[in-house]
Amino acid sequence: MTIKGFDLDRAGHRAVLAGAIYAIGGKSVGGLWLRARPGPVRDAYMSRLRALLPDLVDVTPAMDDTALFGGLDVTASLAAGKKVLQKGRVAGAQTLALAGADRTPPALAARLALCHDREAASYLLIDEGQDGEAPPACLWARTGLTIGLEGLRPNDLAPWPTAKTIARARTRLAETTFSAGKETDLVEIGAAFSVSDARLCVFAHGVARAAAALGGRAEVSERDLDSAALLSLAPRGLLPQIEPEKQPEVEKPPAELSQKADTGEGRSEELSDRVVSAVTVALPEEAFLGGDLAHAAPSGSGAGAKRRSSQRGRPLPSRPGRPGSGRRLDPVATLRAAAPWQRLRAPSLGGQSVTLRPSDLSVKRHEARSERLVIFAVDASGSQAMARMAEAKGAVEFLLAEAYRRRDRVALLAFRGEGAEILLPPTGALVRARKALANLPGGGGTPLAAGLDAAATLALQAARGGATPFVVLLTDGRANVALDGSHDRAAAAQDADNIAKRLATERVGALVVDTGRRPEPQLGRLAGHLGGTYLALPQADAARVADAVSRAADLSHKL
Amino acid sequence: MSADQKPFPFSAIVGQDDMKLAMVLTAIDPKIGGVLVFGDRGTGKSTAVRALAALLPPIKAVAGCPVNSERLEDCPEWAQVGSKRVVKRPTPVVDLPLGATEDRVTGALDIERALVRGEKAFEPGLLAAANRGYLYIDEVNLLEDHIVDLLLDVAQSGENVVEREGLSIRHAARFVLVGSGNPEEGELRPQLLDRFGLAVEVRSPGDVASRVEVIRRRTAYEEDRARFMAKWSRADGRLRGKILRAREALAEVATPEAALEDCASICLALGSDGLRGELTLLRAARALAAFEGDSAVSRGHLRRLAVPALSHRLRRDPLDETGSGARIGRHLGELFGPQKAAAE
Repeated sequence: MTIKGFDLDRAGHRAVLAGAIYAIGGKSVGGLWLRARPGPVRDAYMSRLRALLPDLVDVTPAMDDTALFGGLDVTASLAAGKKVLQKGRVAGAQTLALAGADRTPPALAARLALCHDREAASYLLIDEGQDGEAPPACLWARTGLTIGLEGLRPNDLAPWPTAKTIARARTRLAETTFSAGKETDLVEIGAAFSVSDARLCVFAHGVARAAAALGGRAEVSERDLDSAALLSLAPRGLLPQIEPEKQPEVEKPPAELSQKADTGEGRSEELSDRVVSAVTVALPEEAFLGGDLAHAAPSGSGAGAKRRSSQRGRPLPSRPGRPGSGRRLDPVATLRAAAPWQRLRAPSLGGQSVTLRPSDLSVKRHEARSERLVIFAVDASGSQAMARMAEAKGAVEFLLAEAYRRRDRVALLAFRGEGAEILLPPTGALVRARKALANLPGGGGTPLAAGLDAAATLALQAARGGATPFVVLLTDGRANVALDGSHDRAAAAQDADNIAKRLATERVGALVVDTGRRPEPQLGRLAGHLGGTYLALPQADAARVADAVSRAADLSHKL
Repeated sequence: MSADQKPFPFSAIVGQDDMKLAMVLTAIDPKIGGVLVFGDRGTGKSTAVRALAALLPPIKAVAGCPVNSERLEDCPEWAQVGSKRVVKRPTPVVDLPLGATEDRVTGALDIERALVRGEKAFEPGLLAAANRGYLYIDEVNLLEDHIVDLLLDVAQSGENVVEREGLSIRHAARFVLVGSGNPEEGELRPQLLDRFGLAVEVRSPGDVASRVEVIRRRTAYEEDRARFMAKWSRADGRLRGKILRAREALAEVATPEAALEDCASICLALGSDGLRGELTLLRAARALAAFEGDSAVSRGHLRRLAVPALSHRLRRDPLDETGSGARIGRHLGELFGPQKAAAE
């Protein structure tokens, strides 16, 4: 597939095409979600994209509210003795580049999303997240283009269109037409990728039109639909399930279908299917993460460890600092700080009122409990399946009900065969957890280390996001697959111990539930390394496991 | 409001009839008590609430009054409203963003005036701005519990009371609460669910034709708003007229004894907790009767509203995945015989 110098099978070309389309389409394509960690490729990409977007305004989640949205500059006002207003960067901006978008707190994300809905603002999200971290869903749902620069070198990027080409394409955009048949095709492609978000379909429509304008076409062509499918729909969708008997019927001239070498039997297939198979080849696996990412952003409150908060929770003593960004001024502490100096300050202004200086300002502090994330790592190996899979599932179900009562969030991962698989990313929706658990198949070796490793990754991610992770490991403990995939019992046990020690140093609470027929000494040792509790299921009913989790979790809070 | 800020017209929203009906009913009788809309991203939840407010006729309010009071004597004392002029304002729709602080919601000490002028003054919050209009919370299921509690208390009492930082302020805060969210990302506590009058579930249209229509209307709107608004203004106008007539007719709608009995027997059969379900169902059915120009509440009205009025009030196992909508349908069938195809 080639579009005017862009080879859609190459990630570097897709990235540049997406940038050009964003520059042309602006808000009609929603925005651009750029997944790239800092490095030479991103620098090269951004510098060229900036040249095409002269009015790009840079913001970061670390900026405070006043800097972003404007308001009273308290510090400057006090220093000047009169009201000093500050204009926010977001106000009136057309395109905003949000660097470190993955670190955007939910509150800020919600306000930015509102700006998108109300004003002309569209976002270029620069997402540096790793291991499935993502910006809050309300932000990425408002972008229509998704690209990743992972694994690319600066040379892989396609040559950029000139500013003149972009300007010409922009003027052409208004006249670009979209035939009714093509609109239907676009929707069907979306349906093939299980894209249910109407917003994304509207953005994909804009992407196809901008692609046509870039290619100098007066009407959206099939190639433009390919661009929309690859740049908008595919990265957000799920891998299409091709059910031959359920194909919708769309008639297409066969001449256009024979472009690909491998569509020998696909000659009579309808359009949606063809695009789908092409995309499956063209995209790396991680591009399909989108569907799961919705649940990556933590929120809400819960029963996790204590952390300092400026907004809620049990009050702590105030401390000097400047209000703004959610920190509230403590008037009493501020006055108390200013009081001893009034004699000295009074002559300067000559007034009777209290004279405050920026250094007097105090802010309130509170102690809030962060939410707790319970990560279930369930052994689904053959030995476990033979033994007591049903009991293990029962124990997890019981724990889920307990988690519901405590308003915890849960994540579920299973390990069997060669590795671990995250069945359910952190979520508050426990019905989903139960469904995922019910469908959990069993069989294969016991890659205990891989399972622990996946749990550790999730746990540390959650900890970075401010939550308190807690790992529940359910296994019969006969680890026989090492991290490198080899079937070596000694190495497997060693790997598991190492990861357990790492988790312990990060102070992640843990509970090891031994589901074997008889207690496995190796697991007792593992629990020791984890600094957690060991529980053998033979003597434990589900209620006792739940009780142990509660107690173990409470214990780890006190640390 | 200029043409390019006009929200998407309400009548131009494709499908989503349950959601639209629920919103229209709360516009006819705000006492129904708010709407909870649960569903996937991008199903037009926020579009609908903004569109509804734009559809409703402007309200008359005293110029400069922070709580949109209709008469000068209703203006709160602390606001020190100088003007006596009454102006027309569009029905307020206030967005409550996730992570809003309590200060921002209820209002708090005006730090600016306190520091610069040394005055103790109240800076009204979102609740004041939403008075006589709509308060919209996207992702209500992710909102901090204490904020949700506070909102529901105010929504019920119709008054916001602020007792903090040496301030003692109260002002009217009557608004229709509209919450939306995606249940896959977290659930709302049952006691909060119960406080919403109606609950509807929305999903993306399943057929290609309506999806194409969504895209077409949206792009037409983005391209030339003035023209799109003009095209839909008649449909919006008709709906507005119908809502206004229904508001007037509402007091005249009769509630026959039979309807009361039906209402009670539905709730008994379902075992819904408390009486709030019955009251809401009846209120909503009256609004529906007024909307459709009927003189009395009939079994048909009750039947159509049983799911939105009761589905979120049933006891259920938190891990049970069967929808309560189906349960209500089954009970209704048992009580009143099989559903007529035309009723839904």
